Amino acid sequence: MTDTGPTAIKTTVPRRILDVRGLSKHFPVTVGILRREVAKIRAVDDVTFHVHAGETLGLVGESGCGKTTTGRCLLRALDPTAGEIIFDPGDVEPVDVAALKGKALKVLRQDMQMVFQDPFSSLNPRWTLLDLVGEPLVAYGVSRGKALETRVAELLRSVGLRPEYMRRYPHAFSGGERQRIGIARALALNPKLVVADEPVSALDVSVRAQTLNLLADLQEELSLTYIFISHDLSVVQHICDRVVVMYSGRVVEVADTDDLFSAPLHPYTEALLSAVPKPNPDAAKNRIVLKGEIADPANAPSGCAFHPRCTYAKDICRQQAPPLTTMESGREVRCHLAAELTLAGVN
Amino acid sequence: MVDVVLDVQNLRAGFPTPEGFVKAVDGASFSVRRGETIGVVGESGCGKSITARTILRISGTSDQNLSGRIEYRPPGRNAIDLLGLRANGPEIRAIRGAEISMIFQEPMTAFSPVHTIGNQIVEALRLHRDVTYEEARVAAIGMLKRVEMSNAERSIDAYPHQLSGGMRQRAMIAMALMCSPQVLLADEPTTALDVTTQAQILSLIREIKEALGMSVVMITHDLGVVAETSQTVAVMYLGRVVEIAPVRAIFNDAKHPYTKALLASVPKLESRERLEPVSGMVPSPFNRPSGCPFNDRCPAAMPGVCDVRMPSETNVGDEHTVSCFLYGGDEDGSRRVDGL
Amino acid sequence: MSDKTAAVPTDSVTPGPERLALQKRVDLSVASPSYLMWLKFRRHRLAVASAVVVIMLYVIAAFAEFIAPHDPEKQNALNAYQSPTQIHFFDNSGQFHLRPFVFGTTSVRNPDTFELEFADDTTVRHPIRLLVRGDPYKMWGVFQSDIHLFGVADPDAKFFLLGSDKQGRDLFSRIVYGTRISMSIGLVGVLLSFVIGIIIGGISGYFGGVVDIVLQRVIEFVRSMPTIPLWLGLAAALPSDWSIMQIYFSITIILSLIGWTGLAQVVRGRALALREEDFIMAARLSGTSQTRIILRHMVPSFMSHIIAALTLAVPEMIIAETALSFLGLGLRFPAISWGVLLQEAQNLRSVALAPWLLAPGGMVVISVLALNFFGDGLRDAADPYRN
Repeated sequence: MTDTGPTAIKTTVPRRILDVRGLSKHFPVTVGILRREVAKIRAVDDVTFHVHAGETLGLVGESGCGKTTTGRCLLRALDPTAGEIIFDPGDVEPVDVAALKGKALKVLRQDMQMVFQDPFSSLNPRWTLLDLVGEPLVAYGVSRGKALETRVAELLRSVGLRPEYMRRYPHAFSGGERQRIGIARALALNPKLVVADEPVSALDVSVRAQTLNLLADLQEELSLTYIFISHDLSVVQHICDRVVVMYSGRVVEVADTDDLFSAPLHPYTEALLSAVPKPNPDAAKNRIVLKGEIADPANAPSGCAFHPRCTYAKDICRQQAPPLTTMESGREVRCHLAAELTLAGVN
Repeated sequence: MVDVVLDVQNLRAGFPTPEGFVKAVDGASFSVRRGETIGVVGESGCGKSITARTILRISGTSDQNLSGRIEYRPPGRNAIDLLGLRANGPEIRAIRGAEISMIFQEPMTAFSPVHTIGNQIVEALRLHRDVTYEEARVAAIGMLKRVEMSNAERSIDAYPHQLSGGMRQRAMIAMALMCSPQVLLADEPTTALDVTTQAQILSLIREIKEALGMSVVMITHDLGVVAETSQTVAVMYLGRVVEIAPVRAIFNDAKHPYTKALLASVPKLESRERLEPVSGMVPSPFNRPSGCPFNDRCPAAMPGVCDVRMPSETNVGDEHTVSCFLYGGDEDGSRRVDGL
Repeated sequence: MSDKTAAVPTDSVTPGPERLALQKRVDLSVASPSYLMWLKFRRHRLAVASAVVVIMLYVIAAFAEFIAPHDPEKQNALNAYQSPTQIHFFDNSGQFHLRPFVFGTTSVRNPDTFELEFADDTTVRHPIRLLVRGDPYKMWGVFQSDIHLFGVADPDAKFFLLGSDKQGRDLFSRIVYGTRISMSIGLVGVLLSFVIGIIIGGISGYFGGVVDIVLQRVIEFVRSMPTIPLWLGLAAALPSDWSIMQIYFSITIILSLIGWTGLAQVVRGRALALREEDFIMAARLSGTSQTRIILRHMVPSFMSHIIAALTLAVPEMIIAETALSFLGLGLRFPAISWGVLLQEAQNLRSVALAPWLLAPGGMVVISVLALNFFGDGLRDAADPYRN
């Protein structure tokens, strides 16, 4: 398999820590006592992308686009319906996460962890910080007793919390601090890959910035790889190296952050970028306001799922679903018209 | 003399809780001009929502915990102090929903789930205007069309849960606009929505505001939303308006350290520099610092000054006021330090 | 700038109560879940008072032999339908005595009706003492004793706090003994319901899907059955020659047959809600085993809810037992429960003659109210984190 690096200038081909191929997750829609299946919600449909070791990959889209489901499938919090998730931690043989079971899955989870969106429901209110942050360490039998306390103190310090707080309960902390607790828990086992599902969207502006800085610092310190799931494009632009844009369960565009924001290839990406309110009153306001509503994955339109809202849509878009194609530049896009259109970015 | 439609002066509102008394709004002052959009920004707990609810007297605060003045100046009539009205009296009810209306973050809370949105919109109109059901229904369909509700003739008979988030928000806007209000209070109207839907709703509010010539109070935590919608911006922190200025002055020439910090916290689409957020977090309402509410987090705080006294409003430019000792902040203005 | 102090606005000084609240919050940061629950429960005054009443009732039930001043079975035709004995502090000369006492009685045959009538003999004082010797009993059927918590020393003195019944038995002592059965039948019945409820509710909530749907329909079916006729039918089917113990347990089982459904629904609801919690998924991703997730995350999270639900289920059982026994279909003589005691108040004549026979009904009201308020308080305190 050859690496289609985003820019030809890069001499070293970065290792792919995660290679996702044809990942799908379908939820059945059932009726009645016998739970007869009447339809499928294609929450994630044939998703293919890869993650380079040490980078931050953004998974972007609006509600119902399947970004959270994708993230959960990667960690096997949900079992995917189809597809491969090849995880290459570097020091051992690559494995297909989608096929792992029981013990092997538990071993793998040491290397992949998750940071949740809601800093309230993701921490058991009845546990102290020591129990919460130490949970993975206890579960894997890494440390206990005094050693556990030392390690938890170290973790708390690394996320900017005072180790003296380890006997406190989460209710004593604000949303931002709770999110730090969640990050400390995710880092307890020295994972290589962290899936962060909207980690800052529940936080206030100033706390959000602190948390983003913390994530960036930790990445550098611990050479982490992040998959950063978010609907907030300004945050994604700030923290991500590459971005995967999803719409209605499918990947519509994959690109380097700078390329994506300066010259999007998919009309949906263009509309998304244009819709973000910019904190600059002098910014040009030639906004593309999309008509209609986000496609429902339970009842997706024919052809390209985006065509009913797309200003550029042609007949072919209504009839045929476009494949995810690699352009000459190495960028990937799922649009029939990608080669013809010149779309506006934000920079 | 500028044409002010709503003038809030030194508003205070608080709530007793089992843990202590919460000063949700602690001396907030701003005024809303006819036909303009004023953005009220701040983080959670800054009192921006309570301020809006207090204007309509729906905050549930008892009279002894309220002080200040909220002057509503309807065109062609005498000014009314809304705080002087009985919280559920006929005077405020005649204003609420007719002359000043409000839209919320979650439209589900504004609609009753057991009635169709059409009936609720019709009801809202007939409460204030002497029209028949049929006339009101025609007007409601017209308004739903105006807010670009898809298939207005059919959606009017839908129940709130049958609509998508964006459509519900449109329906709520339609209901709020039925009586052509002078002022629309929009409390985080797009926070629960996706970006593309948010863009639709924001441009809708802007168009309608211009068409009706009403004023909008846009309450939000999102500086982007403020930059795009507002002509004037009031920045709130711990129940006080710390800075108020025209939108360009706020974004290009912010004075108050908190405003600067807030702007530095926001990732910008154009640059990827490291963010420089203000340290610490918003203090708990039970643990307010003495003096200027921001002094414990302020990089420019002056010990012995900022932690002792409350700064007063200082005019620092064209319609640009700031409450900070760096720019005066004393009644006599003798403490002005220029160039900071 | 000369007078700095004068420029200090009054509101910039943090007032005392806010400091105090802050102090409290700091302490709360290390407060355990049970302490937070206690803090929240404590705010519910009525529940706290009810908790005291409930505890007293169970103490009375546990130490009935010791607390009752008389043997509840001791009959004496001469003492039939005695009205409640008055307790005095002043003797006939108006002198105050710190120790309360009862007067002796003299009996006089009414010359018109030939009925024996009693009158206080104010010349004789029987002081009420603590720890007096009286009727012998076997505590819990094991310890032989004749010491009672309180009473009068003279065995011939009439000391009926709540009067006596037709056979001249002391109603107060009988109510005390009845507390044992009435309060425990609720508890035992609820524990039985709890076992059934937690198993079925847990299965329903944990597995979900078809299992859940089927079990929910079963619960709805059971709940839709009219309870009184069902109980009546089942209770009437009990052989009349069974011992008190056999009847007692059969009645408990009959009552729990309906009672478990409510508990099963509480357990199911909590389990379903918990399955969706992010912290359960976080625990799973942290490698925590299924058993540990159930024992350390899920059970503590819903235990308090279950205890509250259990407390609220006890009064239903008490009422059900009382109703059955009152109708003569539950416990029967010689068992003593409030329901059995109330049977004696069934005919109008005895109520007119001896209204104190209704006293067991008062106990039912007190215990049911206390348990309900107590349960309400527990339910509100069960989740101290939800604001």
